[in-house]
Amino acid sequence: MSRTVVKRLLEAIPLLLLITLMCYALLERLPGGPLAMVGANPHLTAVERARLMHALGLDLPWPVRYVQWLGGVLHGDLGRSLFTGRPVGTMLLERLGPTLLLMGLALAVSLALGVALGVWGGLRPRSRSEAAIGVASVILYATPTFWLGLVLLWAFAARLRWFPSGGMAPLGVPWTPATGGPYLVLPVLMLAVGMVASWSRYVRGSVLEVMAQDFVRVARAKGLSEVRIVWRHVLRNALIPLVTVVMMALPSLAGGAVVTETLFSWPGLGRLFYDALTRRDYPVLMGVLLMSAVLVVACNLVADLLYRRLDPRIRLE
Amino acid sequence: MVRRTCLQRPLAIALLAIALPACQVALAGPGGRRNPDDTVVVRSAQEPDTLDPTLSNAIAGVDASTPLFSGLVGVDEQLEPFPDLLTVLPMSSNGGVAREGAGMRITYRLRPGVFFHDGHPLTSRDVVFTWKFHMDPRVPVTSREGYELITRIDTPDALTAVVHLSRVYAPYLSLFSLPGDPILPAHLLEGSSDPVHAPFHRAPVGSGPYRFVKWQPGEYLELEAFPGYHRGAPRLRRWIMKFVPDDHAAYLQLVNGEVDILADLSIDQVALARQEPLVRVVNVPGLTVEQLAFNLDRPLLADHRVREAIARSLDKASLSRAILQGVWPPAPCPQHPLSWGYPPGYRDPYPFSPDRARQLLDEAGWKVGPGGLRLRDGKPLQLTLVSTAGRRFRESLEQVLSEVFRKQGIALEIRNVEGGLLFGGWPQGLLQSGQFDLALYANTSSLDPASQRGSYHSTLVPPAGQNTYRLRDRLLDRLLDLGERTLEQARRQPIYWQANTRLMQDLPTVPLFYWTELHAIHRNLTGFRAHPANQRFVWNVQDWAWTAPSATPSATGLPAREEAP
Repeated sequence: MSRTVVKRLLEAIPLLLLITLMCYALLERLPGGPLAMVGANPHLTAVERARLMHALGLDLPWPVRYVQWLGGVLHGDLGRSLFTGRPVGTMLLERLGPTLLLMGLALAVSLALGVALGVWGGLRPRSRSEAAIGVASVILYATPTFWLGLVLLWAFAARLRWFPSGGMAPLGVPWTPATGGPYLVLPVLMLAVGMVASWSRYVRGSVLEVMAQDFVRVARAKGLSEVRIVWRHVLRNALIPLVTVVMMALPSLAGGAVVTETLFSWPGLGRLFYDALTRRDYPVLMGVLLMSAVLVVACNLVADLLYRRLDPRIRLE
Repeated sequence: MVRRTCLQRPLAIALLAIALPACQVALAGPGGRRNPDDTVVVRSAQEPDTLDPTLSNAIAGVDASTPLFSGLVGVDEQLEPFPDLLTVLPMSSNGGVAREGAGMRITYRLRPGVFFHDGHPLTSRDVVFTWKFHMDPRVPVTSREGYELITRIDTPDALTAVVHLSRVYAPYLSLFSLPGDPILPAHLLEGSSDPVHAPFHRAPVGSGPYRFVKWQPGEYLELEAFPGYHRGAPRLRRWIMKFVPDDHAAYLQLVNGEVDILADLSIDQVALARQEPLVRVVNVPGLTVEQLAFNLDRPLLADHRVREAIARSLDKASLSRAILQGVWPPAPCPQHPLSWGYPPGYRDPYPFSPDRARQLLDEAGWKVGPGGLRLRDGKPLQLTLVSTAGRRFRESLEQVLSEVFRKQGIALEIRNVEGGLLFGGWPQGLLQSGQFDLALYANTSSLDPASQRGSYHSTLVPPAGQNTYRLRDRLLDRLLDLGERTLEQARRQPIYWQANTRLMQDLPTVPLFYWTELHAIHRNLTGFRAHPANQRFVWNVQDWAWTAPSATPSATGLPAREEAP
């Protein structure tokens, strides 16, 4: 198996190179450029613009800059932001923690609720509760996240005042589970609602499929209790496909959620990426994109390995 | 059948986990402010790029760094300059400014007893360093205008700096001054091997009313009062800028008492904010002009009659009432009436007159065709209007303009693009490369009308500069050159009056409205006097105070400290 892992990692190198090259070229083609922010300044002459371009290193052709950037990455240096002048690695690390906290919690909550509701529905096909869960799932899945977030803000932050309306912790107070907990509730809820709907539909289908299998009938014939059948036989089989789906969702979760982070002033990677995109801050954009690409490749590999471990019938070769 | 308990239990635990923190926060106090009385919290939609205003290109950077720094000359809300770090304003009348051959000499007399936040005295050496920093080729300052004319700075003593310029530079009062060019501490930055990436720019040491405490990325910036500030210690102990990118969320935080100042309200929010009992809406006239700019290189628009017809088709007052609740006044001239460059008693030379507009188009050979569209030599009168996407008032304005133009027989194609594409550099930027007929956007002028040279001088047609109208008028060029190189203010004024009158005769743009900045502030905050020029509302933060204790202890607020006086 270790040979397979090494082989997959070696295969990932040209893939990552290709991804970064394409991203760099595409970013260069975006209209505007980093100096658009000062574009309307009447004092900005062509000479001044050329000087600024030179000072920011933007006067070199993009393939040259790409090679320079790549050289830096190979030495562990992701470059510096064109606007803040700070190392991109530091900026990413600052934002990674809050993003992982928010997204991780949203994933955990949504998985717990999604699996529970999915199993519930799967074990009671054609029942009223199953129908209610199904309808609720479709409605929640179709609800625009932004709208839902606004409703949550209005109801729980503005009217009821149960939760703060944004940020990560009280101003000037270090984050601890006690100080930051209330700040997590609404953004986690906003993110989890859509995911719960999705997971529950997925699990329900899977449970229904497994319940129809012969080994479940055999287990019943052996006289096993329903709880034991569900926990040991149905769930263990029904949740295997979920592993792949969850692993594939991880990279996008680590990339942050632009809408949620913006609405709740959450200092995550999604906002960093969005701000960098509007400013055309190429080094920051490339840093986030590279991180996402690496995560996609890594999660793919982990999903395959986990899948094989959970289901020995599957071979990676 | 499965027993229900096996799944009910985890569900109940999950619901309880969500409900518990809710109960905790529900214990937070009722209405009012949720921050202590020695603190003011200002919302910013953006996070600053840097706290060094010399390097910042963002409004948030200006708002955040202005309380941290001081300049030689300040400008009050009446747009009157005053000596900030100086004992006296250098004027030709007091010998502070004098011609020196073809050039000029400015003598700055620094105020004694001014200190940076680290206790180091501010001296003439810092003035010299600030100039050198601007001229350092490694430093990406946006503009070196004025600084590149400095040939040398003499420092006969610690409190005197004599600046020599190679030619007369009339807007000299803007040198070494906020918002963009404060005095930087030489003792911290001089000799730095990497001046651009020094930690200073993120945690600066200035000489302003507040000093830097903490920048929590993505969350907030915290400053505290500098007791040794040379114009008196600030009245509030803490000044916090909270980064809240979403307008809806920011508004909720305002009415919830989590932020005290919501700057730059949208027109839609004004009516709502006026109904809030805790909130006071402040209108501040701004120097920014919303305009409909022409591309004079387009043969169709090179004809003055067509431009005039468009100008006369627009009922600016009605447009303002319909789209902007009448808050933005109609603009007769690109220069703002608050500026001394505005011709006294000037009235719109092209008042609303649809009949005259039709007559002008007829005279220009554009005859109404079968479908109501005007034609000349078989070609339709069709124009493309470009603007920035995502600005709701502009989108409403475009719809009305489209209808107004249609009635005049002009077909209007609207193209809204991202700001980066509209204002981008040559050759991609639509304005720079001339890929437009009409452009709807805002033009911000500086306090000194000398900045008009950058927008209208014929030598600065792109790619050389920012004359994106492609206006080429030799008489106007001469006036703008003369205005910039004339030292005596009394002589400059009529030059700019004449220049602006001439500009409107040329009609490279239809000024539509003067922007009015709208800020919502907590009703108990006093001393908030917003500034019409680009120093915005942060120019006098040291004067802000709370009239009455207004905070309630809150789980979401700062830990309570001593009561405000």
